[in-house]
Amino acid sequence: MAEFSMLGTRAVNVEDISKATGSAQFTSDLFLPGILTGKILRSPLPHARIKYIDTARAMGLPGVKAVITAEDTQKSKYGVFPSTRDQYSLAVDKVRYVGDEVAAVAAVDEATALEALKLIEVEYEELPAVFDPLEAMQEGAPVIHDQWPNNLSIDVEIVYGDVEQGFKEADYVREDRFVLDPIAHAMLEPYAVVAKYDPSGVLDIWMPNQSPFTKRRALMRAIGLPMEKIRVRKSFIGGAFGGRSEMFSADVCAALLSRKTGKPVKITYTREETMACTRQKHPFIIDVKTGVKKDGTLVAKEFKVIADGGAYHSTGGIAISNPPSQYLALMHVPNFHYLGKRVFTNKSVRGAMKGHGNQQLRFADGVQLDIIARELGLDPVEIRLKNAVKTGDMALNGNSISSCAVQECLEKAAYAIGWEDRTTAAKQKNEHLKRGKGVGIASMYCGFSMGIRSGSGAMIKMNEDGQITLFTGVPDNGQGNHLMMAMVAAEVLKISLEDINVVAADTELTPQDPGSYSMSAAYVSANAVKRAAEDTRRQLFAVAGELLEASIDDLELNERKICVKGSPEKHISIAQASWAALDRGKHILGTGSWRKDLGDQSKVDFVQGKIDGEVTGALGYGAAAVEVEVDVTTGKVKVLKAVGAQDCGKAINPRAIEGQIEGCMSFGVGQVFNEQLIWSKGSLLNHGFINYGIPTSLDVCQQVESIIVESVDPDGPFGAKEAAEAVGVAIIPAIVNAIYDAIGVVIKELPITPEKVLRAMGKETGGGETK
Amino acid sequence: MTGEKEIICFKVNGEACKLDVSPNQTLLEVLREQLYLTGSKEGCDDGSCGSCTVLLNGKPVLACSTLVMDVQDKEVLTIEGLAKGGKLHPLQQSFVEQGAIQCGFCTPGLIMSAKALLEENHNPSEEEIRQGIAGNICRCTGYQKIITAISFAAGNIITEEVK
Repeated sequence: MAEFSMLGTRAVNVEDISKATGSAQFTSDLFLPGILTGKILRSPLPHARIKYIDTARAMGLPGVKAVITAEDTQKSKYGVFPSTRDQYSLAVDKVRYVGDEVAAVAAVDEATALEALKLIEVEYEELPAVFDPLEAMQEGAPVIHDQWPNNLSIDVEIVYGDVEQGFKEADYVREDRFVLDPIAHAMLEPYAVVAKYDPSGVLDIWMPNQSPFTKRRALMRAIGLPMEKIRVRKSFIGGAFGGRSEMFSADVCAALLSRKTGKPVKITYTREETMACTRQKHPFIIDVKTGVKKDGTLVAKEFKVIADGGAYHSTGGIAISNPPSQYLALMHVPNFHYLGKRVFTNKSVRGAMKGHGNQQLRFADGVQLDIIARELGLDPVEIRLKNAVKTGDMALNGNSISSCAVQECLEKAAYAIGWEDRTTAAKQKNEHLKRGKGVGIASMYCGFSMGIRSGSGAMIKMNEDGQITLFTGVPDNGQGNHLMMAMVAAEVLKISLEDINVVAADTELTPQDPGSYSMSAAYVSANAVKRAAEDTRRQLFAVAGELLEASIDDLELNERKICVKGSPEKHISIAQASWAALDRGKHILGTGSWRKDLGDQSKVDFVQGKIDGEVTGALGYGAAAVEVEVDVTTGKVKVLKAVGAQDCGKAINPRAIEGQIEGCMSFGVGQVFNEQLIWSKGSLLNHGFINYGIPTSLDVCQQVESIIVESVDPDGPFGAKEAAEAVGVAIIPAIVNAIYDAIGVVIKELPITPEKVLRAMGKETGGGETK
Repeated sequence: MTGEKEIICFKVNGEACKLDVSPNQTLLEVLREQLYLTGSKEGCDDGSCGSCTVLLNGKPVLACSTLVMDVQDKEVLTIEGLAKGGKLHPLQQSFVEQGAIQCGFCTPGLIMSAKALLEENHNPSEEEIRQGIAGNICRCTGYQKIITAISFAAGNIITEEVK
């Protein structure tokens, strides 16, 4: 028998058929009888006190069924971390950014709802606003939250060893500043909620999400319904990338409007609302100071990070404290100092997005590493291989490295890009076009401690035909999580994917799960599924053992059959065993839970900047290698080839992993060249795809190669870990380093526009660049 | 505001329709909210994402930017009209088999754009495919497997026609 029957195959996702035929229902596709349209009234001002709100005229408009303000809510603040809860679902006394939610209406149709919004009278007392994080930290800056009078949302310091001593001992020290602009998730599906409140006291609610259980708990607090009366149901989700992990105002508004009207209510955000009024990616200003020996060995590393968090906390603690811990899980350095500040400004709220701070830090660190390598006459690949962690190492903060193949990823990616061929002749295509190659590496967590939500549960119900329904709490935002779970169950039970229905991400039907935002699906959720399948197998063997008159230890599964080892003619089908069980009054019902024991978590707290201990059970690792071509007359850069190598532990579905690698690399191209959110006095100017710069088929790299590396993690299910955020983080410094290789100048600000390239080369540009 | 209604007659996926619509309604609104053909999606507010692409008399149009009154007496083909008698269109088959679908929100619009492309150009090169789908945004896949799927489908459609 082959080692695996299902794992490693390029299985087809049956859910894709629903997507390909248009029958897959996303939240906005749901139509329930009598459904009303909801709309939210938003603040036009970046910072103001609310003096009064009068909804009478809006209520009087024919077709309007309900209008709500903060008075209709519990007036409780929400937010992921208890210590930093600061956001109301509808503003109580103040608005803090253009788009902040003030009131909501439900009406018979969209036109009426929009008209009603215009009739809601709000008197604001405008307050001075602040938009720049450096200004916001100054004495005398407008105070955005009274609780944090210095506008510091997160302010942490992390120290290991003695960096000052380290810098003294280093042969070479350098400091650089790097800046990244904020970017948008720009997932294709605009945010939407459908809420249906039943008079019996039960709320059914649908919305794109990354954890229905997180949503349920937050809703419970916000609307005052007991948890079991709130059912967050599964719908197809049009992308997330970190931007759907928290509760949003629309969740509460739709629920309350439904309760008030007795009808289902649908709120669909416009693209502008989705980009400006959900979450964005944190812009960072990063000062990196590094000390190395002349052979490239790291001696001391210091980061000073300032992140513009926008108007509320969101998951700010993670954005600030996750990057240093991921750094230490990637590189060995004996002395480390990190200062991280997340600052409030009167702009859209910044939260989790693809790497959640890690991507920003790796850009800065990865590019500086290349500068150091060049200054010391070292190979950028070699300097990374020298300092990167290996399997079995212990990171400086006490995180064990259970499996790590980043060296292999880097070697393979470098080889695939033709790293050895970087001659002057190879680089100079002609007098206008210069080519260069660059690499980057990264780590990525497979989940982290989230209290009771750290682990996952799964259930399997077998019918009399031997087919199963698999219940798992993990959402699928397009990564193929549900297929992955089915494949793990199929592998253990030796059945086909056609034998499996997946019921997922429904708080009423499925067990709890961490959610898909913490990169834990392959490592945590799939482990719970594996255990549920193993439990199912035990129950099958108990029945089969009797029927076959064999010891349970002598049984094995193969192609829907339970066989006696060594005597394949002695077998019964799984269907027969299930039928026989039912005949004996036994139902085959498998359950499994899994959570990585991370030990003492008392010194792990992202909000406080504490990362001492096992922050995560396992990390995925990735490397990217890129070749670019720079037109030195125009400053335009083309990515000729991109190679992504991901250590995913064990490839459950190689095709899905390739899709993740390719997708992550195209995100990287967008972030490096095209994407940037542009502001004026707190208003987002480019809030549509048309002026935002999301890459089209013509913009992405035309030649991509995906490499899968398997380090077989000891705890991952069959060795599996996340894929492929690590590549998505590594690609960014790889592209910037390739440009450096091509034209000999480093550009330390993203996005890299043609003007920046020309300016970096010391050339005049056509006109000024607006910021 | 909704104002007075007009009657419009057109064909959708081969079936004749007669509807009361407002003159300012878009084709997308009518498809989704009156005919419950929710396969065509609304991804943006400004005609820039391509998720609402349908074929109007065989030509690809953005349903969000097409007034419903402009489809009087015309034929509209949406994603729901592609599969015949339970059999997937070669493009749908190919998208599924090649792993060209992740979240799936852009998929209907992409498949319709690809269908229009393949009707115009039976055997497009990779560059021609990239050009042909440049009006459809995908955030998840990086387009690589989408291009492969369209290429495969082109081959399969030619093979079917030869048969």
